[in-house]
Amino acid sequence: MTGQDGAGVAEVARAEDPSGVRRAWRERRRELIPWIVFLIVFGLMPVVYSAPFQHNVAVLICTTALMATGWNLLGGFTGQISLGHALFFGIGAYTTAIGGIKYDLNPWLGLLIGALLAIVISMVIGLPVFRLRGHYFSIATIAVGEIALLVFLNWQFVGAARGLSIPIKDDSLLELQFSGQQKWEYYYIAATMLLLALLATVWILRSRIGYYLIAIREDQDAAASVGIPVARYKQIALSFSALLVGVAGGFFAQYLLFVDPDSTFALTVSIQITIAAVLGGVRSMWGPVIGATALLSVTESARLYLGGTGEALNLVAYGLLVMVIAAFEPNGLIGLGERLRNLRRAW
Amino acid sequence: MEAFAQTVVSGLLLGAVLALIAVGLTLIFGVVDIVNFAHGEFVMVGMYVAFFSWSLAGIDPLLAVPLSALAVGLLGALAYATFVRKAMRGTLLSQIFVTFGLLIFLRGAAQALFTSNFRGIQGTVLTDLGGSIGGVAVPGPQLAAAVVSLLGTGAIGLFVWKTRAGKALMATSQDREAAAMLGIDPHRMFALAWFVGGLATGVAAALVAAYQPVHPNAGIAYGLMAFVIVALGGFGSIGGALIAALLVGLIQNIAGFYLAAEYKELWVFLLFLTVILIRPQGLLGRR
Amino acid sequence: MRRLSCCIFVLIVAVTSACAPGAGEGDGGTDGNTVRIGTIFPLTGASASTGQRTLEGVKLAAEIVNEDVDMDLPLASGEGLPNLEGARIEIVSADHEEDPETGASETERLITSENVSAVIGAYFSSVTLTASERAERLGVPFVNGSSSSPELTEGRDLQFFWRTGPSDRTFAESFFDFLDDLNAEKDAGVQSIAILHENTAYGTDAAEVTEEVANERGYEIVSTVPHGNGVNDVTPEASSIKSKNPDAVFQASYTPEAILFTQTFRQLDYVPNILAYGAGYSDSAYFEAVGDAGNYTISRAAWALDAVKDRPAAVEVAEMFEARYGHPMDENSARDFTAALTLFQAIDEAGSTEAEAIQEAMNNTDVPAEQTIMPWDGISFDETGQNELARGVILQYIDGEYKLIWPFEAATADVVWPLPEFSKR
Repeated sequence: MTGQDGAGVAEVARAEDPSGVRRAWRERRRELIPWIVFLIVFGLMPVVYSAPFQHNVAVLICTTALMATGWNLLGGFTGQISLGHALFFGIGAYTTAIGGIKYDLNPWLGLLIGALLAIVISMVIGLPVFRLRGHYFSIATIAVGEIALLVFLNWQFVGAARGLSIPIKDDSLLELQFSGQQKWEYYYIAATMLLLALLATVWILRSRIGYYLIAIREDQDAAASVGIPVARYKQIALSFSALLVGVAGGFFAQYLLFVDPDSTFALTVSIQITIAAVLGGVRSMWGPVIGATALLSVTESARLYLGGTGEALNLVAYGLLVMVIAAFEPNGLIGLGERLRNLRRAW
Repeated sequence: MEAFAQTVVSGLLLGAVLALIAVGLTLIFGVVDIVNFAHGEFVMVGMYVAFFSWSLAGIDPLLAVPLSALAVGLLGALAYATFVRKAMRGTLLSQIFVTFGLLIFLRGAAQALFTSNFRGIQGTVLTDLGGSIGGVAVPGPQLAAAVVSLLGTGAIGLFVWKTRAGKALMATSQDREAAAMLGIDPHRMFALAWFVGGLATGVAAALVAAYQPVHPNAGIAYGLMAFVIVALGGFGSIGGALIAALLVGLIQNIAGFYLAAEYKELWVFLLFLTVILIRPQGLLGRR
Repeated sequence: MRRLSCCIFVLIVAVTSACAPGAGEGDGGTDGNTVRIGTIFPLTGASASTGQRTLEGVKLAAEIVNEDVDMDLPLASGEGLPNLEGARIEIVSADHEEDPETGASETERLITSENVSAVIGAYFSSVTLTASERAERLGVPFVNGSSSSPELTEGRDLQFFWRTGPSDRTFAESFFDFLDDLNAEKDAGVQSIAILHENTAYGTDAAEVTEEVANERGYEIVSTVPHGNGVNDVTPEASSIKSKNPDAVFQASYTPEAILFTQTFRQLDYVPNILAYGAGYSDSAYFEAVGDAGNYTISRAAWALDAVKDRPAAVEVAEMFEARYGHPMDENSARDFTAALTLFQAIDEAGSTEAEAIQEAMNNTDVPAEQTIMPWDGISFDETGQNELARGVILQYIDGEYKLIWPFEAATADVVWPLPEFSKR
């Protein structure tokens, strides 16, 4: 099935339905429900999770969801599984940090420039890497990420292995620094960015681009044969995901006030992003959000109860969870929920 | 000149060890069409088997090779039977993630069971084997590892091309449906591929344990290099893995010695990217 | 499907909020009659074994305070902290996974949710950097015993950070004093040196101060070789050192690479005269892993049993440690033991768990040498929070333990220099 066919079928179905208008309205209303739930859950999250360390988890949930949402447009909807997105995270983080430290650049501008830089780099990389498919593509993205890690580990200008500390300033929205124990400000900034990212994602998915991307995932050769410029649309997906991950990186640098290569460019960062998306379910735009929420809630709780012992039981549980999800529910938590609902219906 | 000879010898020795590990990985990929991201952790498990054989029963790592091979082989077959087989019905993504989960699980389990202590095997027959030829040091454990590794790679080649089971394996890798029509049960073949791939890895692991620290994170470096080697050589190609591994060993040593040591892996990744951009299927891979 | 995703969403949030512990209630770190102290060490990851050893040091210090121990150390006799009505110390341990972000957020959790009065950590210099800054923001004392990066107390202006152990600048100076003495008294002729360091905050800082001090003292640096961590082969790095054949090699590496380098040098049949910046070489796991090849290793240290044999308390602490945890006390355990005990003394002196009171007591700390288990001149902090009385000693691993070889006048063993071949160890 190509995207165009899919769109056509839906239109035809709508035209044939006598009560098309009402039905469309009902559909629209149903589509609004997840947004409302999102607003309620993310609006109230720091109220429910009120302890400072829980605020920290909430901020991490937002940034991880932001990155996973970006990754998913490329990985989930376009089917190009990148394991090198830490690159864009690092670019965003370092641009903001270096801008602030060496050029006295406002962090918001740093965020913007970092995101643009991430897009530019995604274009440089996309050109050659998109010639590869499947596992080759994934391993090539790992290699690109590792090269970036090695370069930053040894580049004196950016602090090499030691990393960079961003100087502390007075609290202000303009300087994107807040020193309170409670991280309301950071949280709501991150949550707003996530909301904007989701709105952008839904716009893309509704537009022609979205259909093309899904067509590419389903069958790249077929998509090309009906005239979809495959390379260009893959690049759009990559650039969009680089943008979101880059913004998350810039925000994160400003949040932690410290960047170093091992916590920004490492393979583990790339994997964390993908696992969040896969855990939630890559077929839906809500999957990454659900996945990030579940992943961080579970791993942070696990660390709380099991981490201090050093027996690594949290890793054992985490690994098992990932294996079980991958083996038994490829569509993640959303797929699991669907299955439960069907079960109930059948019953 | 002596220094150059040393880098070449060291490079080839390292390459030979990497080759056997990569051959295990490429075999699994070639037949089952799945990348085992937990492959480095398979090496780590094998290293622990060799270490405990030595520390508890006094078995020299050279003699522990069969034990380690068997253990890792069974681990591979078990991983296939429990989770991987299920995940294969899913997308490329679930296939990648099932082995990621396995990686995290094995690393955590190793720390939970054996603690995070660094361990090492001392005073093996291998240590005394080493010597130097004209000022070029040829360390015993690596030499043994390289010899066994080349033999092992050859044995796997023979197994694949000459035996009934091996031919069935290759038939499955080339055309699953057609092989199934001929009465070859693909799932048995897949389990066999995981087992044989594990065997090869276990052999390398026991030898590596003779000169490297054994700890829960010992596999990380091997895992990453093994993927790159397999992709460089061409997924599923045993000869390709061998050549790529020797190449990687040489580059690491020559670039590490003559250029900046901190960038030695960078050259490997760059070579890898260059090759697959020119030949996306890798050095000896088929499309 | 969409409605469904909502349900899943709400469910996750509900379940996790139910199982996460409630918001930080209570005030200060005293709960009934205990003083809660947080620790942040690497308990998972490549350096987890060292993290365990440092944690054990802190735990032992707490035990000595809590129990009535007959030992000539402050707070040992009697149970608990006398000025806080015998309050007991409770250790709340957290894991930073070698990650600066995790270190900072776990430190924050310890402070805000676990209500600890102070935090001890973090072994990794990079993590100590971020974790101590987080503690500073929250206005809670952070005491460090085992990170040696000079950067931690140079150029940062923290009010709630103290380091009991020496920095690598002190160590570098000790090393060159040692080399000067070695050249003068033993006619060793050491002139050219190489630096082999791991590419982390700790390694690069150590390399940098070594270079600085070497230049000041007129030694010639022939090569500086960084290496990655978590690597499987260091042959090119080792060969590169071999080809330069320096008179001495300064090395700053954590345990796995320390093991790997020892094995590789042995295989290359080259005997470097290694002067180690502790880390891997002060980990007892290193010696268990390499066996006899580890003999005659020379390392800087802030502690060695051999250097404090004349202090009964130090010997008793080391014995107690081995009995408790099944392996000998090593430098890292001793350093964090001392960091912990210094903090406990300050809390007792303050008679309160208020941050400002502890801060004042820490700043006024003046512990004479004989009341510590360390071979230092005592403990007293300068305005940057660095213990200005911390000293480095130089040890050589002889007959299964580290012996003091420098300062020569206090040495318990003669230095073996140059280092013997591996086959003769």
